[in-house]
Amino acid sequence: MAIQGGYTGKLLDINLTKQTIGTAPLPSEHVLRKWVGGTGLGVYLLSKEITSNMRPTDPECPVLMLTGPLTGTLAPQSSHWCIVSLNSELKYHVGVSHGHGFWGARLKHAGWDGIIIRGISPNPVYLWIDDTNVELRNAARYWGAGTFDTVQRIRTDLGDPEHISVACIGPGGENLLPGGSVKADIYHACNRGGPGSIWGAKRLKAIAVRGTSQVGLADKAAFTELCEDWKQIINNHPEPPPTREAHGLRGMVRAGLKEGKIHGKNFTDPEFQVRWSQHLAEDLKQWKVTPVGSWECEMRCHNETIVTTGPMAGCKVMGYTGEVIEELGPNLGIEDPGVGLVLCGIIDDLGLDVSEVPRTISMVMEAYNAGILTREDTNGLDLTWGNHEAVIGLINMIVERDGIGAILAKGLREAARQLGTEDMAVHIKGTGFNPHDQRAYPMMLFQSLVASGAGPAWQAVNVLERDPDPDLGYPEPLDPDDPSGKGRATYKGQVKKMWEDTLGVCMFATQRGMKGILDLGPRVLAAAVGWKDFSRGEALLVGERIINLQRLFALFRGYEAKYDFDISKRMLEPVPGGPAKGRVLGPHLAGMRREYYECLNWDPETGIPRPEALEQVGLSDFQVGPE
Amino acid sequence: MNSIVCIKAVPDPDSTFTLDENGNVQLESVPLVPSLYDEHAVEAAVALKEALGGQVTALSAGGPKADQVVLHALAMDADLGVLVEHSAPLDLDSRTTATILAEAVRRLGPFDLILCGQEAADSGAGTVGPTLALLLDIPFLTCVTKIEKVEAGLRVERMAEGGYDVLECPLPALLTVGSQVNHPRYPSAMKFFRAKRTGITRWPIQDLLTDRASVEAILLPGKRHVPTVVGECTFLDGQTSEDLAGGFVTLLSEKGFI
Repeated sequence: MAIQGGYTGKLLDINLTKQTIGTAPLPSEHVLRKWVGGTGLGVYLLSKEITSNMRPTDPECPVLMLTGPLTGTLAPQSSHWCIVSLNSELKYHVGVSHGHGFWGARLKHAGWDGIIIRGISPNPVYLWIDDTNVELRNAARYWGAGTFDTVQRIRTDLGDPEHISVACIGPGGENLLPGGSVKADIYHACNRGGPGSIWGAKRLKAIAVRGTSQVGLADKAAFTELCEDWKQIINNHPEPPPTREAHGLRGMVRAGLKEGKIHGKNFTDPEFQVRWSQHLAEDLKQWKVTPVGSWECEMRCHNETIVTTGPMAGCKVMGYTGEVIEELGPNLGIEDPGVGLVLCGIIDDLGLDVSEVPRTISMVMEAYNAGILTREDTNGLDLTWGNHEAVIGLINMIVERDGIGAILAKGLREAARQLGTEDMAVHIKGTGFNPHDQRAYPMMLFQSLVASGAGPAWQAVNVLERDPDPDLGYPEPLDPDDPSGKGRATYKGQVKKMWEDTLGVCMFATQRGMKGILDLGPRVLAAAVGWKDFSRGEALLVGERIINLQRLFALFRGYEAKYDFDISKRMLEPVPGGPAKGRVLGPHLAGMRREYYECLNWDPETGIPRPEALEQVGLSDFQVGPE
Repeated sequence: MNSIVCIKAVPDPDSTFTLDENGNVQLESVPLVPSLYDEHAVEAAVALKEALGGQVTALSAGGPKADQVVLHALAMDADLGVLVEHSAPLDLDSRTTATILAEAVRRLGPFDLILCGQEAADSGAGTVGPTLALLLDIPFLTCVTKIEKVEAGLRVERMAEGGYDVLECPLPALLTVGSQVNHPRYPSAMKFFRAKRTGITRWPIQDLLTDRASVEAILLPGKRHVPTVVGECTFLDGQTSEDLAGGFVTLLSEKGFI
């Protein structure tokens, strides 16, 4: 059955060394049906090109920007696109980061399912995609600019700010810092895996896109009807899309007061979150918070906030800011939420992932407050907890690789080694991980550590210890203190999430415990593409296939099962206080991993997929690397 | 091109707020934000500076909390920030505001251009800019949608019925702008932080107006009333249009309108 919609059928194929722009067809329908799009298609395409020793900064290393078949359609929250490449921070993992805003939808509307970029440009460039007219342009005048400035200037210079989306890097990516991110449409970041630093190595400053067509659909009437059903499910959720206060910031109050998942002072002070969250709750009554959406998005989890309280009153901050503020507020001992929010704005403008550079700073602050480091070590900075001026000074030193900043710019693990602060480096596999004190939800922490083939990330993001997931057979949340069945639950959640990440919709359209999505998704895909017999079972097989390919990818790049336990000791100990006091993963980790491996039919010792496992997902003959 | 941008702190138009017994907004109840069109004025001034050189001074008048909008302008790349501090109600009348701003402009010294939003987001009067220009005895153009430097001064486009006017004016001059003139840049958090550290210039109004007018008189708050709306509805009887029209004429006659 020929593909009748959903896809444009084309990828842009850019070589920055040669400064050439070409077109590549999408893989065959047979391949597409196995990987669909987004993360799935990206990992598949990357796997066919990499070698075991290729580095992310090598010219031949490709970086892929991909949409899904639903991106840019009328499906709810169909703003999703992703960046797939080698992981900047971890040799053995693929790097996958998720983006939203309007960039992905406009790329589809311009007639492209994705972009593959190889090579290194001799000079800074940006890519301008105006429907099918595509050109590389000199970006020298934007090099060095922050992400907010870059987006606005390029949009304005191209003369149509209302209809042009720009994804770009800031000084963080340009300077190849750990956790260099790509920012799109001002508010939205692709963070995990450090894609911004890969763009920076390629001297790719930005990609601007304007699209004027629509995504074709196989059965428009059926598609529209199914999407209306989908929107009904979203709107009937106990927590429907917000009206005024943005989802992210509002959630922080609950996270600190009830869930205990906000980390304080480099994970040493879980009591800090309680008074900080109370402070935030009061401030939110005063701040002007304007939720910001993406393509076909009613969730509007990002926001524009004008701080009107405290020492930073008057500052306007754009971005997600939800969990970001945890890392830049409480985890640095900063009491005033407005100050933390302004630090979010600074980090976002620099184009940095909040879990890398800020986590390094919290490590150094802990060492300074413990007397292990002194002002002599910090180039005169007083890194007392909460000293935001010193934090900003340190951020600038890291960006400029000046003094102690040059050490911290080497990444969390290496910086800790050089400074002798290994015990204070709160890491997974040597890198930072998503904000939240994940010890509060041991299963969430387990997912970040073991059940992610893309480094510490939430590939099975269901917070099943807080929210139910009736589609997976969990009508009630799981008990956070009871480890039984958590390995299986993680497996089921990851299969579902990896499938959903192929479609081109935001996780807030599929997760949060909404009932019926797992049956609806395949039907929507069928109506879009024309695969009328695409079933729930086939969808779950797509998810399981991606999990297995990520593992093959990692093994090809040198992964060993022992890395599943590569995490700071602090994260495996019980939470010492706060609302989640006593929660712990450590004693249950080995058992949960055993169960998780059993579900996937992976060898319990080596973590290598058994032949039967690969046969089940159609990967028996699959070879990672060029054929 | 040395520009002065007048920027006003207004109650967040999207928020709910309470009034005191005189009908004034209780400022504690509402966030202060930059008046919408004033952000466009800042952007226009900064764009001219980037193209032609010079500097941009952000000027506001208000209570101590109005420094927030001056800092906002500095975070948008204005160079200097000045707040004329007073304790009067937020929405002074246009003449009073223009008088205060005129004194501040005189103190700031020579300039090429003053930019204002075409109207404030709270009062919507649209008269501060023109009044300020009259007080300073300089030409002004309102509702400008495009600004271009030419040898003789400025060439601007201005909204007009069914199109736009193209006008030229010598400098120094005052322009008011609306949302069509540009897309305001997002403020930089780092620049805000630096501006916060550097601080802005604060002029107490008593210092500024000593020789010109009585501060107490000029800041005397007025009293405002929420209008009382009384509705009365009369339904006309009748089956046909003629019946209803006849009844309507009779009613108008009885009320003395015809």
